[in-house]
Amino acid sequence: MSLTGENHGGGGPDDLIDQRLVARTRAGEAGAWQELLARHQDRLYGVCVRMVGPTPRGRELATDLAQDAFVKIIQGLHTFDGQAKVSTWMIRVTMNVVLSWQRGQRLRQHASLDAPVAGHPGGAGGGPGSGSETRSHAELLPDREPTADRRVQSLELRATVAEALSQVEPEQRALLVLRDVRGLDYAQIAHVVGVPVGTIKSRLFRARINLREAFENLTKPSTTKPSTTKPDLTKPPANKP
Amino acid sequence: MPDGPTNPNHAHRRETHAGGPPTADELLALVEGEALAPERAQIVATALANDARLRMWVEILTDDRKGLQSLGSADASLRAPADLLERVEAQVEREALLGLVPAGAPTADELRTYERPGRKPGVLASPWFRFASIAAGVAFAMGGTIVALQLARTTVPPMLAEGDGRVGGVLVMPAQQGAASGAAGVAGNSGTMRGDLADAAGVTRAQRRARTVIRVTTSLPTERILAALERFDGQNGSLVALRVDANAGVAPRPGIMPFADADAAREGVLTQVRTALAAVHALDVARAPIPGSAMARGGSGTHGSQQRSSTQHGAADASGTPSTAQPKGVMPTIGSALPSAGAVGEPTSREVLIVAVPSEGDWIEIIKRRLAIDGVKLELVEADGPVTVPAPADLMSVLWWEQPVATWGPRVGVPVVIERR
Repeated sequence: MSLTGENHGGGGPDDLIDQRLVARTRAGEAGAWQELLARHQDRLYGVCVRMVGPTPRGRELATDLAQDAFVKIIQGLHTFDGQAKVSTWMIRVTMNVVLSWQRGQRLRQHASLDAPVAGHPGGAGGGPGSGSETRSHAELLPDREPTADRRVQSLELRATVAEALSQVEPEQRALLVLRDVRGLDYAQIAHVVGVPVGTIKSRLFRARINLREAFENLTKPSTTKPSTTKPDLTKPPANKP
Repeated sequence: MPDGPTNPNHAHRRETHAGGPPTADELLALVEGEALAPERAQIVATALANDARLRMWVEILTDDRKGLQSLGSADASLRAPADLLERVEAQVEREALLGLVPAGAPTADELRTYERPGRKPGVLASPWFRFASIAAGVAFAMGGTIVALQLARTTVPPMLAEGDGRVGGVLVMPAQQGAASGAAGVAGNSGTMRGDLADAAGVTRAQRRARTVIRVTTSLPTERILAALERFDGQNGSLVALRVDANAGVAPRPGIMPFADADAAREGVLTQVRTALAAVHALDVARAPIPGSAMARGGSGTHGSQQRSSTQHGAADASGTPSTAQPKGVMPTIGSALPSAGAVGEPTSREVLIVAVPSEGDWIEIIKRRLAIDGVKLELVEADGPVTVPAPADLMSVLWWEQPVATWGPRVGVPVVIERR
């Protein structure tokens, strides 16, 4: 199901229009690339905003990132091979720009803060992701119960989800944004991220758990400072009855 | 605690896996509301019924997903900044100029947003064409000199006597001279047009707007500004902005920037005017009226255009009023030449655009908004008195009477002076 207008059917009318615009741009027709970008700029900009955060500063940053992404899209149109939908390919380029920028930001941080926690499932690479179809949930799911009184029900708490999303690793955040915010299917996400569908599922499940961890950290009583470090799910269950 | 044989959870996990409980993918499918394989659905349902912790995780992750989806709904109303594509275009051009474009990528020229009047390479390559061009150029220069000398000996047209066209170092375009002259050209056979021009308030506004000069001091390429204006124009399906290179001591070089849509719609006409404009401008015609709708309608090329421009200018002088009448159904941008920069001022580079807009509405504000791009400084200059500028032919003054009378309306030419220091 598409929530935000993404066309999931292969070769749908929207994609046909996009393909024609790509062809016209390649043929050197003036203004065709603008028409193409104009059709997608809001969605791509939305991806950037959601990846960097919807704050005023985040929107400025998202504008810069979208600009860079659009330039790369224009300059890379000749490399588009038609194996994916144009819109998916454009999201891929945009997401790569955003993630590259975020990786660069991380490199600028202190090494100790940047180093992945041993055994933490939220690492950038997502751990051993492929072949997850046979993996038991027990290997991924924390052994504790989730905090039942912190369910995302009210509008206010849903706003907190956005904040929690910003605290998830960028690569995992990308999966959540693509899947839930933008409504892409697994095949499209696999194309955007460049990994097999099985790996996408595995990483997405981890991402959901990490989002939950971040959410509960944010909604803890104010006497406890929200943890900014990665949760260590290898710890013994804390709330297990 | 490390995940290994020493971790008590380790054995539990392997044992659970071996026992065939729901996999992570199955839980993910549950969270996302997807159907499970029939042979697994019952197993998973049983596992959930027997494991409260597992059931709670599924429920709460499902809620989280709904929360994320609600963000998607909110993002649906998110709009990219209005100038994003302009910024992209500027960056593409910059990178192309700096040679940063990846191999195989389209060049900035291929990605241009407007059509430049181009000459066909095949014709250019012909030595006969070159010879003919040189011969025509020499003949034209001689003819132009003769005409100019004759003009110098004649009386100064009343219009020019009103002022020297200079206000605070900035030349100002009177209200739609070309259109006014065109109006006179058809006044004898069109009462409807008189009715339009009888709108005194409109004429007054036109006069006021005519003294409005938008100065743009910028380090940006003129093409960027042209592109901005062209987009403004393109929204209304009109066609031409005339660019005048007013560098001191250099003869103005008009260039036409037609829009693709209008170009397609009026290809034949544009071709004619393209041919005519350079010659018309070079002569800087501001001379005696030649009655002329017939002349204006007929003929083609340089000669016909010269006569047309003469007609228009003379008619404007005769009327003594900067009356304006141009098609308003379409949104024409007309170009009109200004004298060379020697009379304009000191900047190292100055180019002038004359943009014709309806005399009513917020078109000047629209122009200003269109020009409000990064790196451009806008300065609005109001003239303090009636000023006139000799106007050669422009596109719409040639064409406007070919439009339905019902589309005529007051228009005003707004000079946009681009200075580069």
